[in-house]
Amino acid sequence: MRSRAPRGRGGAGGTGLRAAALVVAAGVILGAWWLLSLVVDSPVLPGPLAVLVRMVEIGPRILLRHAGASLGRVAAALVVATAAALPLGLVMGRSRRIDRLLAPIAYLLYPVPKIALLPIVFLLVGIGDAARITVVVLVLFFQILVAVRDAARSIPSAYLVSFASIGGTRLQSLRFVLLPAILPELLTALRLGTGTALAVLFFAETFFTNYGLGTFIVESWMRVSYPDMMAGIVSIGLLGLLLFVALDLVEHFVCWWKHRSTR
Amino acid sequence: MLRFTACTVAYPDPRSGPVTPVFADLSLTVAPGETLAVVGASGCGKTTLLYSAAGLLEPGGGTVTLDERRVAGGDRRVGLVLQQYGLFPWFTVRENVALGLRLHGASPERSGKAADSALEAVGMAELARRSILTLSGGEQQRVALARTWAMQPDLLLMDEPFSALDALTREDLQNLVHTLLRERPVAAILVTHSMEEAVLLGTRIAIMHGSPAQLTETPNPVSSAAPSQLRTRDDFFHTVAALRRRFEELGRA
Repeated sequence: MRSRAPRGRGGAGGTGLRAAALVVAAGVILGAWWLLSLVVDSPVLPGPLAVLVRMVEIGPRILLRHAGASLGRVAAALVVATAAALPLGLVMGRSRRIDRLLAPIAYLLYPVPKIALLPIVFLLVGIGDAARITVVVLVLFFQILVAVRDAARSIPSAYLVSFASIGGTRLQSLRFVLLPAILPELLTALRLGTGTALAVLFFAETFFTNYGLGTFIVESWMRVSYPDMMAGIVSIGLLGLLLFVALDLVEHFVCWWKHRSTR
Repeated sequence: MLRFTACTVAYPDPRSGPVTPVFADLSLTVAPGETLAVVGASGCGKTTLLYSAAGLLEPGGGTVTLDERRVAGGDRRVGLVLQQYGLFPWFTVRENVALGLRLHGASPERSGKAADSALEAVGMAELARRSILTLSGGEQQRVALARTWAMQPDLLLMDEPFSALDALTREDLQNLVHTLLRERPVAAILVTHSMEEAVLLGTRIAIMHGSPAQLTETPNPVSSAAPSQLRTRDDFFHTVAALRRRFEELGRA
């Protein structure tokens, strides 16, 4: 047999190296922050230790509640945006006719900064969480749509011919061919989208709400409580990291073939 | 017995309506135990012939039957092996081989057992749990053959199955296909660009030419020999040369 060596980043050694690289990167970031705080020497930029102490003090009572609200909104937006964009992207990717009809609309709307629609969304949807989630959904929707459409379009025809030849119906091809084929691109779009989603959510949370990391950071800033403000900023960063790592793990599990030589 | 009866296949142009048919009024039979090797230039209609036999293309006129029953798309009696393998990387080797049976309603145990014995037959049993992406081209084509073979088809269709492989791997797979077809002598059509391959594996050889395409059969006096013995024999080279001359004559005509 002339099998190739297993590819990918799998294996205990690879995972250990990755974890070590992440620890080193975190150390570099914290070191740079600490040095910058020494150079600036201003209460506006407290050092990492002071912020860590403050996070421990207010974490369980205050930060977790705000982070939970933000996480709930982002998670809801990820689910709604995926549920809406995935089927549409698949249809556009596999049907030239529908793509010709809808692609120009997506092309024109994609570059519009969705955050600019926030006032309209507040007026139409109300000032509750639904409005904040809607704005994040609008951002994620187009990123997922474009990624899924392009992935569905580039599925090799050999997959579909061979699937039909072994008796697969069009409905079965959705489960056995189309969805698995676009999964890597979908998860990449979600991982890239979470960064933008958190940025948009931060802004949307500065209006008409008492909970969420966005409102906590701005409110701390207004109180001139810089350690609190930095604790909020670090928390929103950690929230982004958590989502990124969670999606990375999902990708590692469901797209096993990209990382391991056996299931 | 595969039977094409006065078959016509044309790809309609959505703007200008029907175009010249790929083939018209084509009649053809392939009996169990026969391998019809079809050679022809690129774009002459070989793949269209194969897809029609697989039921993936509906003829505009005439019928395609296997043992007197019409062939429909996804017909379990028909196995199709493609040049690009058509294996799914998100399934293991074993899952790929079992997939066809699962789609036809077999239980996981039954489809798994059938997959194991088909993998055994193509010499891939030890790689059953592997990802498709870790396999070489030759190994992937063995898995594709196993997937087809696991369904115990009555008709085996091969669309330039070895043209993406290096010479040595191609010879291995030609030997394997010959062995499989000797053990289970079903009707088979092999579409190929290679004259040598047509002589090695075809019990009958047909040249596809013209527009609409016609099939002109040419004798293969060495068809009874195994490819592993045939490759070094003088009569093999003579037969290939004769086939090439006939191919060129028909091309000029």
